[in-house]
Amino acid sequence: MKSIRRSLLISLLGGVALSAMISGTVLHRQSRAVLTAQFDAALKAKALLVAALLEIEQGRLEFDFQPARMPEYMGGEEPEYFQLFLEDGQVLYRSATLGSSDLPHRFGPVEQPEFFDLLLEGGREGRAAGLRVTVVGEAADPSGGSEDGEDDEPEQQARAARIDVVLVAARARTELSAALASLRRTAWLSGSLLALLVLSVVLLSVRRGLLPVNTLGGQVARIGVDSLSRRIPADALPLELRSMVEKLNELLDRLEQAFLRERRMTANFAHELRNPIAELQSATEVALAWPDDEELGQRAICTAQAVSVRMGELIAGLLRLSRVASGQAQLEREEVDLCSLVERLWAGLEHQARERELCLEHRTPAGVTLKTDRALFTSVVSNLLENAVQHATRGTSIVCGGRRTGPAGFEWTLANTASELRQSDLPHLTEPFWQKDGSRSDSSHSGLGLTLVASITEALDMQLAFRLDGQFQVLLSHRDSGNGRA
Amino acid sequence: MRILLIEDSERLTESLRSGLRKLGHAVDIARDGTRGLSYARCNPYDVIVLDLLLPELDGLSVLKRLREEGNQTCVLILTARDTVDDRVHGLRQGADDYLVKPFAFGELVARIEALGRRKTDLANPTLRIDDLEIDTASRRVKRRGQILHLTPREYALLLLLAKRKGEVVTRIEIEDHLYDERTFPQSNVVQSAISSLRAQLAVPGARPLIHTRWGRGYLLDEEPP
Repeated sequence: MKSIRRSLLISLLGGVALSAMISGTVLHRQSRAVLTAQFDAALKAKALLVAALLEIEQGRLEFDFQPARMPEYMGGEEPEYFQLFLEDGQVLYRSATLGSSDLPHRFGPVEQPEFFDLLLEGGREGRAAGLRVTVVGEAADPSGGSEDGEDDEPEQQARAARIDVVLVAARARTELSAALASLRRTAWLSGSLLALLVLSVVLLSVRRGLLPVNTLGGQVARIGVDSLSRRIPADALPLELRSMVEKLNELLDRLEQAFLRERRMTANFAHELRNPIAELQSATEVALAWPDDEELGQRAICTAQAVSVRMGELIAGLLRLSRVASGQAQLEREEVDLCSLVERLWAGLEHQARERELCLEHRTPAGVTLKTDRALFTSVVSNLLENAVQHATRGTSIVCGGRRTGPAGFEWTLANTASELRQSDLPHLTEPFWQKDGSRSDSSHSGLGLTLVASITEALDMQLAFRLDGQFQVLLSHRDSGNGRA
Repeated sequence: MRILLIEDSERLTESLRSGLRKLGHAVDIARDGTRGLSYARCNPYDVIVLDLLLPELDGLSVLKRLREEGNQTCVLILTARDTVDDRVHGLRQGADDYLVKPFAFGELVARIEALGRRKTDLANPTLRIDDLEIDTASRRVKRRGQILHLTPREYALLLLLAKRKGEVVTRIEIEDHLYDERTFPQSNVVQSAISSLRAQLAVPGARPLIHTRWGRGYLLDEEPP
């Protein structure tokens, strides 16, 4: 399972460890180079000091070495070494500390001597600098020279002698090795301490950084079916989580509404079933308790018949709703004349409307047609008209009108007075089994009519909307999508 | 007993009314909450059977108003609402019993009769007056060990008199408890019912238990005071 904490720890610690290793290595190398360079510079300076003792006199190479002034080349606790060679390797001079052994004949120009490690006597580690120096001096005077000294200068220049001498100076590198070892130890120690510190800081930071996520996780985990009204406060959360929590809260809103709708539907459905069963059970039990009473028997039969019809209608409605909602209903589109459809359906409702002193103001112009499934669309309009006739205030008008809004688009509205309906009722109108009358006394309705209308309009790619603005309005529309179908 | 049935389902109320009347109870019916409240205020019912989902005024509001007005008539809630919360809420609002639809008619009757007994503080379902024994649970009446076969109305009249043993029960009280709004008793119907009951109780060797108080009513007791 992926873990943000683990990923963060691995990437942070890995990154920090890699950075520490690289920077430690670079630092160590750099420090070693500096220390070695300092050591080499000191070695070179010492070598040049020795080289300065070389001179040419009368064509002869002289080495004015005075052991008393440089006792380190004579022995002692920290002996140093040098050896003078001619360029061809011929040994000119050895320091006393070398005894009969030689230093390697390796060298570079004086500006850039060759530095190299070597093993000194007794197996000690040492470092040497080999350089070639050019000793300039007076060449030997084959004539013995001029007495008066006149016109000597050009001759002297002509008689200057140059001898290349290789000087290899060496000394034990104990101090350098100790300093480098100390540097390594310090680097490892400080690196380890830094690693511990970084580990602690990273752990703490990751924990602190993930705290809101963990808290949020706990809050979300505590939300169950029984606590869907609970919301997660977004204000206290970091910016990165806030939008997610706001979306989560919106989702919870929708989920709560869905649950409430589901519960209402279940309760209404249970009521829809319990009442007729109670009627049936009571009627039959009473009839069975007094079997000689014909009137009771007759009433029980009538009740059974009425209840079975009602249950049959309920089941038929549910099956139809299920078919439409699952897209199983076969659509057969054809041109439907809206005006004549409304007039035909109204004719069937006219008697009922007259009893309630209702009249229809039909404002759909003749010739408005739409291409749709005739049977399903008819059931939609029929249902809406029936509702209007049953729920409109007595003695008022029902107004309906339709118009085209494009080659395939249309709008159809149905308006009637509905004094009992409230704005808060509108979202529930298409819920299965919802009825305005909470007592559900009207057993001729199951509360599936508008649910079916909503499902069918969806299947027909139509939009259904309700408005309550003085009057109750049903708006049925189809947007012109350019495919020529409604 | 006189029972008020506040229920909007016509088919249900008709069958319940028939069954309860067959058992000798007087049953009034109100199909909405407002009318039910009005009936309950105006008539001395033994038990009110109350639906919760009612037109105009819901059942809980009816119950609440009755209790606020001091009406202590036993109320049995009969409803399709079956959750524990619904039951608890109903009982806390002052209902004495709660029955969920669908229900067995026999259970409803038993609960109504139990509430009726509770109203008269009858912890023991058997009433004894001299050698007369009335088992209110099984609705069986014996005198001197002999089972009497009373009609439901005779039984209801006997029970009314027995519950108020030694008290004069007026003719109007008897009419109120034995006849519902559908019945229009003639002036001699109570007298006729008393005569019929007296005849049923008159087993050999037994002395009269029902005594007439002229101009006042009737009383049931071992001996006339």
